[in-house]
Amino acid sequence: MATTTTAVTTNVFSGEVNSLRTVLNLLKSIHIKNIATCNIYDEGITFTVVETHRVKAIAYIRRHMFEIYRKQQGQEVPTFGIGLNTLIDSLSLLGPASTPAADTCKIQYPSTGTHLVISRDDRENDVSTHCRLVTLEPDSENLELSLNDEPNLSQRAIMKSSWLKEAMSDLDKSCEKINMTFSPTDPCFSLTGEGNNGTFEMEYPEHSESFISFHCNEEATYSYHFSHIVYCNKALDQSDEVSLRVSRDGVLSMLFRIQESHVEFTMLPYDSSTTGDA
Amino acid sequence: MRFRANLINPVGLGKIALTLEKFGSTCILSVGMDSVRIIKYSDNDGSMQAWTYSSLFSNYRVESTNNNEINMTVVTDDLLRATRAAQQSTDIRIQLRKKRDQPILDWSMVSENRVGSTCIIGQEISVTIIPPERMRHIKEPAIAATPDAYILLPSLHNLKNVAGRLKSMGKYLTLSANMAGVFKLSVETELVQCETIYRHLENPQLAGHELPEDIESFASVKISTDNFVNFLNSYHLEPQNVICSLTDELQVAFYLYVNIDAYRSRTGDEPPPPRVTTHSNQPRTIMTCHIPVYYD
Repeated sequence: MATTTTAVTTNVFSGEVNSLRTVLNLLKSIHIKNIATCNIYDEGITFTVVETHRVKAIAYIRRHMFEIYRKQQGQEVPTFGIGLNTLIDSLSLLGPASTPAADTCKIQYPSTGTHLVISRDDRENDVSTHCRLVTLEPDSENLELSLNDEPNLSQRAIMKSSWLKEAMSDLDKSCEKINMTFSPTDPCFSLTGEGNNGTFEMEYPEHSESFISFHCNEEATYSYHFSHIVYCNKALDQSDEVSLRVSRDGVLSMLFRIQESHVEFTMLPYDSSTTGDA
Repeated sequence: MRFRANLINPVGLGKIALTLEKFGSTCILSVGMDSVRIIKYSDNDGSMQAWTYSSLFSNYRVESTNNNEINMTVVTDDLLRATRAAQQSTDIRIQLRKKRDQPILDWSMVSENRVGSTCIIGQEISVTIIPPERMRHIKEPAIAATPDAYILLPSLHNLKNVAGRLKSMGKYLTLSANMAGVFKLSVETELVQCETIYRHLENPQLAGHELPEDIESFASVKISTDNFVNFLNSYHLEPQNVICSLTDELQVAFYLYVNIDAYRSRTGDEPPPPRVTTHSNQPRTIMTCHIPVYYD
């Protein structure tokens, strides 16, 4: 009986990203803590960081960012932890590519509980680089917090990142608390920073038409730790659009659109009993 | 004790000084009948050594009771600054003199000032004369007669970028090479193992050395990442070739072949120097660098 031998990959996951630079930027934008949790799904890979049980950041590396994506359909890959410092250093080691087309990177997860392998083979220049990263237990800090399935959103807005960037840069760095006020009437959105040096107020922009989209049923003000909002700076810098959602409990989600991918920050409202830092 | 010479290649000397400055704050200028050596030496094993043989001078005169050799320690930064001033000048004369009982290297050069008229600029560098008894102990490390592997390195500038990124990953790195054209940089820590591999490099021919039976087998040494990055600053010298010589677990040496003449500026009637290639016309400057090896 004739049998065909096919090359079967025994890897739990193996893939090749189109743009290492994009992946690196996404990871740098969630680099608020060293340990990240990695999840490999059929639709893509996520890296999640949770800080002080109050802020969660997720980088989405979706399947369309991969040239090759090999994972057993429907098979669940157990979550694992990874050191972000090391992961970012390893990706940086692969170095800038001579052309954007050459800026690829192979990612392999051979089997559960082993290493994550990052590599690039530059045939043209006869150089290849690989890094085998130790995988860890998933971070014990967890925050089951997501507004994705939340039906009762209090506020929703999509705005240009440049506006939010400008508003943020106007705030004094000594602020401890940021208040966001949404209103169905103009001025529809304003930011206030409160700190030891007093209160700073910005109404920006003035009209709801300036937003890409804006939904607000009733006026409300929500407060967050300034330090948590500052965590989003890198993501804000790289993005062109940001979508803000607030639940009735005041949980804020900011979804930053970065090229063809997303980074999402979710945070609990300001709690005066904590300073907001770890 | 007398030393007098014309510095005909201030840019070349400057580049050597710039490279050696990364290895430490002082260097030794050793002038003898046959050659000029610029040495970065260290007694302890923790740092690097660079031995440069070069032709940077003309109208050269050395006299001393020590076999007509004079060795002096100089602050590398002083040397660097003096050469910077000299680069804009001509007719640069260096002389060893005594000033108030202290030895100095006296530089005099002809320069054009802003208005366009010529003037003579002087500079002085303090030096410390090294007595012959002490100089006897300053020797280049012995190289194993037959290293296990020797290979022509890829661009130093490229290596410097890679090594720089490896610095954040580990304090030590392993250099490996084989006689089949492969050179590797690796770092291994508790968290990660990284390797950058260069292939299809050239293994030069070492006279009288037979290739090992297994040309694919690697010779490796463990060195400090910092030392390697510092060494790679020698890319300033734009070496034509850099040979890395490895004796497994014991020793590593780098030979940089530099065409220092290329930095000489020419007056109108001087012919350009012959183009130097690996196989003909020995370049006039060779810098040998030794990096200390760590043992597990």
